[in-house]
Amino acid sequence: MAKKNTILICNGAACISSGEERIKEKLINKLSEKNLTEEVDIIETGCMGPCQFGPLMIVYPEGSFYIKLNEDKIARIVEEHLLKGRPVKEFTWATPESRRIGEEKKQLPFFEKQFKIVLSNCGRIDPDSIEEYIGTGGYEALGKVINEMTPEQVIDEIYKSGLRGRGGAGFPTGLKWKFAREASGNEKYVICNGDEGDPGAFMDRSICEGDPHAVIEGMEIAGYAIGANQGYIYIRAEYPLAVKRLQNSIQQAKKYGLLGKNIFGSSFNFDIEIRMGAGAFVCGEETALIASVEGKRGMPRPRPPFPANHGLWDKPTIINNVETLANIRHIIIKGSNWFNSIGTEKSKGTKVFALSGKVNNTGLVEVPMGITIKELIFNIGGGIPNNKKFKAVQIGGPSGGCIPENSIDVPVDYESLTNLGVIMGSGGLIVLDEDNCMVNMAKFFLDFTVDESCGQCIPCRAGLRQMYNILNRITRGKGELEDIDRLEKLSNIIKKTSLCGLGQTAPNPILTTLKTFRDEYIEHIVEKKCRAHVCRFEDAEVKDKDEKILKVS
Amino acid sequence: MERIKIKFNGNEVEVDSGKTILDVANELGIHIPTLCNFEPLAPKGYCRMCVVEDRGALKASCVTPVAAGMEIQTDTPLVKEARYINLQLLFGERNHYCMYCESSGDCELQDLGYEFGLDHFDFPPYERKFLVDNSHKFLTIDHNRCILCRRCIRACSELAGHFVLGERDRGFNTMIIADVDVPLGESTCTSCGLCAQICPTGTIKDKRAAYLGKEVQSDIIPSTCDICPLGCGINVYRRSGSNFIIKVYGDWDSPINGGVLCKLGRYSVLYDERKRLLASKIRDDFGYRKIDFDGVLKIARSRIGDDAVAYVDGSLYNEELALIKKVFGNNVYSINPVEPPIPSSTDLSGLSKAEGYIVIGVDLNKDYGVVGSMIKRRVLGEEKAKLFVVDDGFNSLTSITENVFTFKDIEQAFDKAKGLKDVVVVFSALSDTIRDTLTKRGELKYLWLPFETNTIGLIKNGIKYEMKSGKNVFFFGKDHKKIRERFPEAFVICATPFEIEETEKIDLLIATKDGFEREGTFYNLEGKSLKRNKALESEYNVIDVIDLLSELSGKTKSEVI
Repeated sequence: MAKKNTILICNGAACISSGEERIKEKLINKLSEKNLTEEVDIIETGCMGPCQFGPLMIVYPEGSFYIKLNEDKIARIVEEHLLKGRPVKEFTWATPESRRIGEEKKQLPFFEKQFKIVLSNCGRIDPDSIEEYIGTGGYEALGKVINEMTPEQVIDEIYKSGLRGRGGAGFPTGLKWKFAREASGNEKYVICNGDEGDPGAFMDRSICEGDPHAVIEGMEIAGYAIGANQGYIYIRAEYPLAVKRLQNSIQQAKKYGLLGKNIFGSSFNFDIEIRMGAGAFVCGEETALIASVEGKRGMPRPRPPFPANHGLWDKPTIINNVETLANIRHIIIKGSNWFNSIGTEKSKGTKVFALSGKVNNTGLVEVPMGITIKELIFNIGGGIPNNKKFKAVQIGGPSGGCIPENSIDVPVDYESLTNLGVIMGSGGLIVLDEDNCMVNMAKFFLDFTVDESCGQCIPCRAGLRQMYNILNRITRGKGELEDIDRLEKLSNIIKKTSLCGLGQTAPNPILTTLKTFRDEYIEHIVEKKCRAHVCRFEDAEVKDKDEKILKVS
Repeated sequence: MERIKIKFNGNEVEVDSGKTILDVANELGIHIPTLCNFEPLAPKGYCRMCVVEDRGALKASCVTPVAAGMEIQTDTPLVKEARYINLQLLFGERNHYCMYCESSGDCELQDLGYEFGLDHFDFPPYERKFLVDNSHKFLTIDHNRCILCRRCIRACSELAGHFVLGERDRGFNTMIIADVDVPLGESTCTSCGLCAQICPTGTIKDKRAAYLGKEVQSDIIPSTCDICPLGCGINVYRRSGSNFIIKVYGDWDSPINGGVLCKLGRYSVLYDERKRLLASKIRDDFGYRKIDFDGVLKIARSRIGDDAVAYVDGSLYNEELALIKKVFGNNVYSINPVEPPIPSSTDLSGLSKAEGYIVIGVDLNKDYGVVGSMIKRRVLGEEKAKLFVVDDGFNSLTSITENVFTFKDIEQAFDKAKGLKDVVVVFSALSDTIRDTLTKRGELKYLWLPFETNTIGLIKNGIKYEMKSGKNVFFFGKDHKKIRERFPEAFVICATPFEIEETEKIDLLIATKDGFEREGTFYNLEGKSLKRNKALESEYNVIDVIDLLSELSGKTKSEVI
């Protein structure tokens, strides 16, 4: 019997923390009270995107997108919508324009400019169900690869698609695979990097929570391509839900013969194990990650040799980001030409961003490469709340930098962002308005990198620390104009001499703010004034390093 | 090895592709400052002092292999600035006020400060204060001087194989710790002292050497350790113009120990508290009275003849043994056992290649410590070699392996070691049953650790372990315990450096030179002849055994050596 309604209820971590479980319980109770249990299908899905408005649910076939649910709202929705067939419009997400248009999700401006490849299953299927994943074409790509393609063809297809690493640096994925394929050795490894440590970033977590099988399928294809039989998913222990769903998916895939020995009846074997990180940001750096998987202290080592030749246990290894791997199956099924047609000349496909900060619609979005920052913030993000003035957007987390208002027409692609002195990063976007002090923001990120520096090389360990001291002085009204020169000089040397990517990019937040918000620094130093009223100068008698020292010892 | 072309400071050179930029610079005689890099350790690139410019990018030369097309510049303004700033950062991190540091003058950080002309602190020096770890008997760790180069950690693991030192926390909070952050004196430290030898600053110091003198104030005497039959290369630091030893360091270039020493070789020789015999003495009815060289010679001569036997121990050098043989003919015996239970079938290079080790009845953390290091660094390090310990009493090696067996269960150890390609059995003395069990195992390789320093020399000289009595019994060596008990009736003459209880019953005591006062050669456990050089003048009224014996044999000293 066909069900009358299908309800997708968002079961991402953000919605869970805003009370999704209580809502679901209420819904089930209410339905059985009204004898509707048989007629309504409830599916818990991964993240739908607009996390700020959780808990969320969509009722089909109408496509009513209910937001900010509570128990009273559920009672009315059951009564009105599910029983009588009249969607409760005041509870649906509707901006003034779209209220007229209707309820269909796609028509909301938040979704309108998005292009979902990686997130296509997130918020649509139950991540704990392999059947639903297979129902959307899941594991088709793996089947195609194993039965119809040689490893070389797979690598060629990925290379032609123009897919680049989504972890931040943007190295061509096909090339990385090619190096590992050509590296000599019988044992090779695939590692999925889910060590998402940037403040304000939750793309990888959402993908692992919302579509775990896509990551597994991507890893298997990678394993087939380079000739590996073992994969590791390195994921933060702070993501228990993602770990649970990945573990569940691995078990399901094994049960279905889609993982383990003789996949699809072929001679290809591939197994996946989960390794949990202990929360060090530097373990996102690939050599540190490898050390951590090996059970050593998670510290980076100099490259070369690169992991493609000397990786895990000194064997050829590829390390791909979660989002990169989630792209693979779509490229295999739809072809490199299709993927190639999305995006800009050098940056193909889409990118997932985690929108946060001073923006109306925070949450998880996926956009085609080449979209402008402006569209991201003002169309998808819905602009700045409380009629405040937009100031800048921080992209790429502690390794990235700030894009000021006069540059927000820049397209989102690797090269354009690099030209601005920032990096694509893994996809954290923090929107800042006039109430944010740029000096303080730079200090915040530096505080983060100082804490997360592994402490091996001197520029990162001591240099960032000295930069933090200088910024601390400035934000307390004790700075001097020479401090700006010192910051620039130190930044330059730290970038050029640090051992790994953490140190090489850590000065970026300072350099980009010094470039475009230099007047704010000077204001702090000369006028002892913070235009955003964030920095407080009255308690300036506190000595600069004490705060940090006391925290430490 | 592929040859590639690179440009070095503008000149085209052809180099081997496997080398690092630093290697090439060293070959070309181009100076690149280094700090955390140290030859026997694997380079890590921590300190960034060795950065060079390659087409605009800075690269740490110690860890970057040369690649075709490189254009290396070692002296550009950018290189200089980067090195200068990083050095300033190092100086600003902890307490590096040189004038209050004992290592001032012996400090690689300070040397760099002079090289770069540092005359002020660019950054406010860090005022964090750390406690000084003074809990260890021989070492002190002053974390305030630490630059976190981790040479000590790497030496403790990569070279000495003890894996005691490690690090705690991260970033600028990183601290060097012992075990799981316990005071060094309470840790599993075996007191090999390599960390103090390798520390570039004043962080880890030998307590005894403190304030005795800098390297420039020392005569460095290359020599060989004679505590055990391994024969580790050492450098003895004697204060110039004085007659005392500041410290003993391992010789990095020694093919035997490569710089590593053990507690005995580095510290016990300097902390020796045994009572020296200050002069030769003869016993008469009233007790002992002092006697000079001529007196000794006269009595000794009168006692040499067919009824005289000489006993020696393994502390004697080859030259001394040869003279004793000359004087006493075949009447020379060893007071201790000399024959190996099973002869060695491998050497130290074989030891450092094995996949498995069966150690029987020796605690390698206490005795033959450098052999312990050789084994431990392979067992605990990357090679993951297997260690089997067979012992009945306490053996500290049991803390690093699960495979511990009693003598009774020795067969189980063999069973467990089955399947390993290369297994070396390490032992010193063995009971007859164990020896018989072992000899049946043809697949194993044996490394015998001789009982005394020059036991091999005794064997080579044909000196046997036997009990022969005579009217006059001579003893040469250190281990003269129970000699009176053995020969209650004989006239006993002991040439020895130490007083012990037995001393009171000996008829003629000849005070001899000891330790760094002696020189000569001995055979180590591999049968290599090693030279020990004199580092000290004796301050007592003692006799050189060589002088005495050459007089007794009727030859001049120059004839016999």
